Amino acid sequence: MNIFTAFTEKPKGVYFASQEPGEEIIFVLRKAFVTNIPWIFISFLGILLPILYMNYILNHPSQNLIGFSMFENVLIIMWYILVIVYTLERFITWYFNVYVVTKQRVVDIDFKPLFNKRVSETTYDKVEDSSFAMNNIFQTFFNYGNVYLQTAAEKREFEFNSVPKPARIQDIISDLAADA
Amino acid sequence: MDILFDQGLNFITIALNLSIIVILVLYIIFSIIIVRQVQLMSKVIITGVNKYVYFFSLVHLAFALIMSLVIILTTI
Repeated sequence: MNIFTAFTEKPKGVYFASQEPGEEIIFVLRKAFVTNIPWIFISFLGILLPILYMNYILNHPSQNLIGFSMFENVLIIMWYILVIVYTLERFITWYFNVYVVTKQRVVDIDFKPLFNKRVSETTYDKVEDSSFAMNNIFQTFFNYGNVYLQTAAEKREFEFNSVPKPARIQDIISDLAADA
Repeated sequence: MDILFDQGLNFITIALNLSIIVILVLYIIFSIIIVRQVQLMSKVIITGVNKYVYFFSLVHLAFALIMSLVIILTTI
Protein backbone atom coordinates (compact mmCIF):
# COMPACT_ATOMS: atom_id res chain seq x y z
CA MET A 1 0.00 0.00 0.00
CA ASN A 2 1.66 3.24 -1.09
CA ILE A 3 0.70 6.83 -0.33
CA PHE A 4 -1.53 7.18 -3.42
CA THR A 5 -3.31 3.83 -3.17
CA ALA A 6 -7.10 4.09 -3.34
CA PHE A 7 -8.00 0.39 -3.42
CA THR A 8 -6.34 -2.28 -1.31
CA GLU A 9 -7.65 -5.79 -0.93
CA LYS A 10 -6.60 -7.74 2.18
CA PRO A 11 -3.90 -5.21 3.06
CA LYS A 12 -0.91 -6.14 5.19
CA GLY A 13 0.10 -3.85 8.04
CA VAL A 14 -3.11 -1.78 8.04
CA TYR A 15 -5.20 -1.38 11.20
CA PHE A 16 -7.92 0.95 12.42
CA ALA A 17 -8.60 2.31 15.90
CA SER A 18 -11.67 0.25 16.83
CA GLN A 19 -10.47 -2.99 15.22
CA GLU A 20 -11.22 -6.08 17.31
CA PRO A 21 -8.57 -8.77 17.80
CA GLY A 22 -8.76 -11.19 14.89
CA GLU A 23 -10.97 -8.88 12.80
CA GLU A 24 -9.78 -9.28 9.23
CA ILE A 25 -9.75 -6.30 6.88
CA ILE A 26 -10.97 -7.08 3.37
CA PHE A 27 -10.80 -3.65 1.72
CA VAL A 28 -9.26 -0.31 2.55
CA LEU A 29 -10.69 2.28 0.16
CA ARG A 30 -10.33 5.93 -0.70
CA LYS A 31 -11.83 7.95 -3.50
CA ALA A 32 -10.32 6.89 -6.84
CA PHE A 33 -7.08 8.74 -7.48
CA VAL A 34 -8.46 10.11 -10.74
CA THR A 35 -10.93 12.22 -8.67
CA ASN A 36 -7.90 14.23 -7.50
CA ILE A 37 -7.13 15.48 -11.00
CA PRO A 38 -9.20 18.73 -10.73
CA TRP A 39 -7.36 20.00 -7.64
CA ILE A 40 -3.99 18.79 -8.94
CA PHE A 41 -4.70 20.77 -12.12
CA ILE A 42 -5.72 23.87 -10.10
CA SER A 43 -2.53 23.56 -8.02
CA PHE A 44 -0.34 23.36 -11.12
CA LEU A 45 -2.17 26.37 -12.51
CA GLY A 46 -1.52 28.14 -9.18
CA ILE A 47 2.19 27.35 -9.48
CA LEU A 48 2.35 28.46 -13.11
CA LEU A 49 0.38 31.73 -12.86
CA PRO A 50 3.05 33.87 -11.11
CA ILE A 51 5.71 32.47 -13.46
CA LEU A 52 3.59 33.44 -16.47
CA TYR A 53 2.87 36.85 -14.90
CA MET A 54 6.57 37.52 -14.25
CA ASN A 55 7.43 36.41 -17.76
CA TYR A 56 4.78 38.76 -19.17
CA ILE A 57 6.01 41.69 -17.05
CA LEU A 58 9.61 41.11 -18.14
CA ASN A 59 8.49 41.36 -21.77
CA HIS A 60 5.97 44.22 -21.17
CA PRO A 61 7.33 46.37 -18.27
CA SER A 62 4.70 49.09 -18.83
CA GLN A 63 1.87 46.60 -18.04
CA ASN A 64 2.98 46.01 -14.42
CA LEU A 65 -0.36 45.72 -12.56
CA ILE A 66 0.96 45.57 -9.02
CA GLY A 67 3.12 48.68 -9.15
CA PHE A 68 4.67 48.33 -5.70
CA SER A 69 7.81 46.50 -6.70
CA MET A 70 8.97 46.17 -3.08
CA PHE A 71 5.88 44.06 -2.34
CA GLU A 72 5.84 42.14 -5.59
CA ASN A 73 7.99 39.29 -4.28
CA VAL A 74 6.01 39.13 -1.04
CA LEU A 75 2.73 38.97 -2.94
CA ILE A 76 4.08 36.11 -5.03
CA ILE A 77 5.20 34.28 -1.89
CA MET A 78 1.73 34.85 -0.36
CA TRP A 79 0.21 33.44 -3.51
CA TYR A 80 2.38 30.33 -3.21
CA ILE A 81 1.37 29.99 0.47
CA LEU A 82 -2.26 29.94 -0.69
CA VAL A 83 -1.41 27.28 -3.29
CA ILE A 84 0.42 25.16 -0.66
CA VAL A 85 -2.49 25.48 1.82
CA TYR A 86 -5.02 24.53 -0.86
CA THR A 87 -2.96 21.56 -2.13
CA LEU A 88 -2.20 20.24 1.36
CA GLU A 89 -5.82 20.61 2.48
CA ARG A 90 -7.08 18.71 -0.59
CA PHE A 91 -4.48 15.95 -0.24
CA ILE A 92 -5.05 15.44 3.50
CA THR A 93 -8.82 15.36 2.94
CA TRP A 94 -8.41 12.66 0.29
CA TYR A 95 -5.83 10.67 2.24
CA PHE A 96 -7.76 10.45 5.53
CA ASN A 97 -11.23 9.86 4.08
CA VAL A 98 -11.13 6.10 4.26
CA TYR A 99 -13.66 3.30 4.00
CA VAL A 100 -12.76 0.03 5.68
CA VAL A 101 -14.58 -3.22 4.92
CA THR A 102 -13.89 -6.04 7.34
CA LYS A 103 -15.43 -9.48 7.73
CA GLN A 104 -17.63 -8.15 10.57
CA ARG A 105 -18.55 -4.59 9.57
CA VAL A 106 -18.11 -1.54 7.40
CA VAL A 107 -16.35 1.55 8.77
CA ASP A 108 -16.60 5.01 7.21
CA ILE A 109 -13.95 7.50 8.36
CA ASP A 110 -14.91 11.05 7.32
CA PHE A 111 -12.36 13.75 7.77
CA LYS A 112 -12.44 17.47 7.02
CA PRO A 113 -9.18 19.25 7.89
CA LEU A 114 -9.63 22.07 10.44
CA PHE A 115 -13.28 21.16 10.98
CA ASN A 116 -14.25 17.67 11.98
CA LYS A 117 -13.77 13.95 11.79
CA ARG A 118 -16.51 11.38 12.03
CA VAL A 119 -16.24 7.63 12.25
CA SER A 120 -19.40 5.64 11.55
CA GLU A 121 -19.79 1.91 11.21
CA THR A 122 -22.40 -0.73 10.62
CA THR A 123 -22.45 -4.48 10.98
CA TYR A 124 -23.68 -6.74 8.19
CA ASP A 125 -26.77 -7.92 10.09
CA LYS A 126 -28.08 -4.33 9.81
CA VAL A 127 -27.42 -4.08 6.06
CA GLU A 128 -30.74 -4.48 4.25
CA ASP A 129 -29.70 -3.70 0.73
CA SER A 130 -26.57 -2.83 -1.22
CA SER A 131 -26.10 -1.33 -4.64
CA PHE A 132 -23.54 0.51 -6.73
CA ALA A 133 -23.71 3.19 -9.39
CA MET A 134 -21.35 4.58 -12.00
CA ASN A 135 -22.90 7.89 -12.87
CA ASN A 136 -20.97 9.28 -15.81
CA ILE A 137 -18.58 8.44 -18.61
CA PHE A 138 -15.47 9.15 -16.49
CA GLN A 139 -16.64 6.76 -13.79
CA THR A 140 -17.35 4.07 -16.37
CA PHE A 141 -14.05 4.65 -18.17
CA PHE A 142 -11.91 4.70 -15.02
CA ASN A 143 -13.98 2.02 -13.25
CA TYR A 144 -15.01 3.91 -10.14
CA GLY A 145 -18.35 4.86 -8.62
CA ASN A 146 -20.53 4.93 -5.54
CA VAL A 147 -21.52 1.99 -3.37
CA TYR A 148 -24.72 2.39 -1.31
CA LEU A 149 -25.68 0.37 1.73
CA GLN A 150 -29.20 0.67 3.15
CA THR A 151 -29.14 -0.15 6.82
CA ALA A 152 -31.68 -0.63 9.60
CA ALA A 153 -29.48 1.39 11.95
CA GLU A 154 -29.82 5.05 12.93
CA LYS A 155 -27.66 6.11 10.00
CA ARG A 156 -29.94 4.88 7.21
CA GLU A 157 -27.52 4.93 4.35
CA PHE A 158 -23.81 4.32 3.98
CA GLU A 159 -22.31 5.76 0.87
CA PHE A 160 -18.84 5.01 -0.44
CA ASN A 161 -18.17 7.92 -2.76
CA SER A 162 -16.20 7.45 -5.98
CA VAL A 163 -14.41 4.28 -4.88
CA PRO A 164 -12.50 2.14 -7.41
CA LYS A 165 -14.03 -1.19 -8.55
CA PRO A 166 -17.49 -0.57 -7.04
CA ALA A 167 -18.93 -3.76 -8.54
CA ARG A 168 -16.38 -5.94 -6.75
CA ILE A 169 -16.89 -4.10 -3.45
CA GLN A 170 -20.69 -4.34 -3.65
CA ASP A 171 -20.43 -8.04 -4.56
CA ILE A 172 -18.28 -8.86 -1.52
CA ILE A 173 -20.44 -6.74 0.82
CA SER A 174 -23.67 -8.35 -0.38
CA ASP A 175 -22.11 -11.83 0.16
CA LEU A 176 -21.06 -10.86 3.68
CA ALA A 177 -24.51 -9.38 4.40
CA ALA A 178 -26.21 -12.54 3.14
CA ASP A 179 -24.05 -14.68 5.45
CA ALA A 180 -24.72 -12.47 8.49
CA MET B 1 0.91 67.58 -1.93
CA ASP B 2 4.10 65.58 -1.46
CA ILE B 3 3.39 65.22 2.28
CA LEU B 4 -0.13 63.90 1.54
CA PHE B 5 1.32 61.44 -0.97
CA ASP B 6 3.95 60.27 1.54
CA GLN B 7 1.28 59.83 4.23
CA GLY B 8 -0.87 57.79 1.84
CA LEU B 9 2.11 55.63 0.90
CA ASN B 10 2.97 55.17 4.60
CA PHE B 11 -0.59 54.08 5.34
CA ILE B 12 -0.54 51.55 2.48
CA THR B 13 2.85 50.25 3.65
CA ILE B 14 1.61 49.78 7.23
CA ALA B 15 -1.63 48.13 6.05
CA LEU B 16 0.30 45.75 3.76
CA ASN B 17 2.79 44.90 6.52
CA LEU B 18 -0.02 44.17 8.96
CA SER B 19 -1.89 41.99 6.47
CA ILE B 20 1.35 40.09 5.70
CA ILE B 21 1.84 39.40 9.42
CA VAL B 22 -1.79 38.28 9.83
CA ILE B 23 -1.54 35.93 6.81
CA LEU B 24 1.77 34.47 8.06
CA VAL B 25 0.36 33.90 11.56
CA LEU B 26 -2.71 32.18 10.07
CA TYR B 27 -0.43 30.07 7.87
CA ILE B 28 1.66 28.96 10.87
CA ILE B 29 -1.53 28.10 12.82
CA PHE B 30 -2.78 26.12 9.82
CA SER B 31 0.55 24.22 9.64
CA ILE B 32 0.40 23.37 13.36
CA ILE B 33 -3.22 22.18 13.06
CA ILE B 34 -2.29 20.00 10.08
CA VAL B 35 0.55 18.35 12.06
CA ARG B 36 -1.81 17.70 14.99
CA GLN B 37 -4.57 16.37 12.75
CA VAL B 38 -2.21 14.06 10.88
CA GLN B 39 -1.01 12.81 14.27
CA LEU B 40 -4.60 12.14 15.42
CA MET B 41 -5.81 10.62 12.16
CA SER B 42 -2.76 8.33 12.07
CA LYS B 43 -4.18 6.71 15.21
CA VAL B 44 -7.61 6.25 13.62
CA ILE B 45 -6.31 4.48 10.51
CA ILE B 46 -2.86 2.95 10.87
CA THR B 47 -0.92 2.24 7.69
CA GLY B 48 2.76 1.86 6.92
CA VAL B 49 2.86 5.13 4.99
CA ASN B 50 1.35 7.40 7.68
CA LYS B 51 4.85 8.17 8.94
CA TYR B 52 5.73 9.75 5.59
CA VAL B 53 2.62 11.96 5.70
CA TYR B 54 3.48 12.95 9.28
CA PHE B 55 7.09 13.67 8.29
CA PHE B 56 5.86 15.78 5.39
CA SER B 57 3.54 17.77 7.70
CA LEU B 58 6.52 18.46 10.00
CA VAL B 59 8.66 19.58 7.05
CA HIS B 60 5.78 21.83 5.98
CA LEU B 61 5.59 23.36 9.48
CA ALA B 62 9.35 23.98 9.46
CA PHE B 63 9.05 25.54 6.00
CA ALA B 64 6.18 27.78 7.21
CA LEU B 65 8.18 28.96 10.23
CA ILE B 66 11.41 29.59 8.31
CA MET B 67 9.65 31.34 5.42
CA SER B 68 7.63 33.54 7.78
CA LEU B 69 10.81 34.52 9.60
CA VAL B 70 12.59 35.32 6.34
CA ILE B 71 9.65 37.41 5.04
CA ILE B 72 9.35 39.35 8.31
CA LEU B 73 13.10 40.01 8.51
CA THR B 74 13.48 41.08 4.88
CA THR B 75 10.34 43.14 4.28
CA ILE B 76 8.94 44.46 7.56
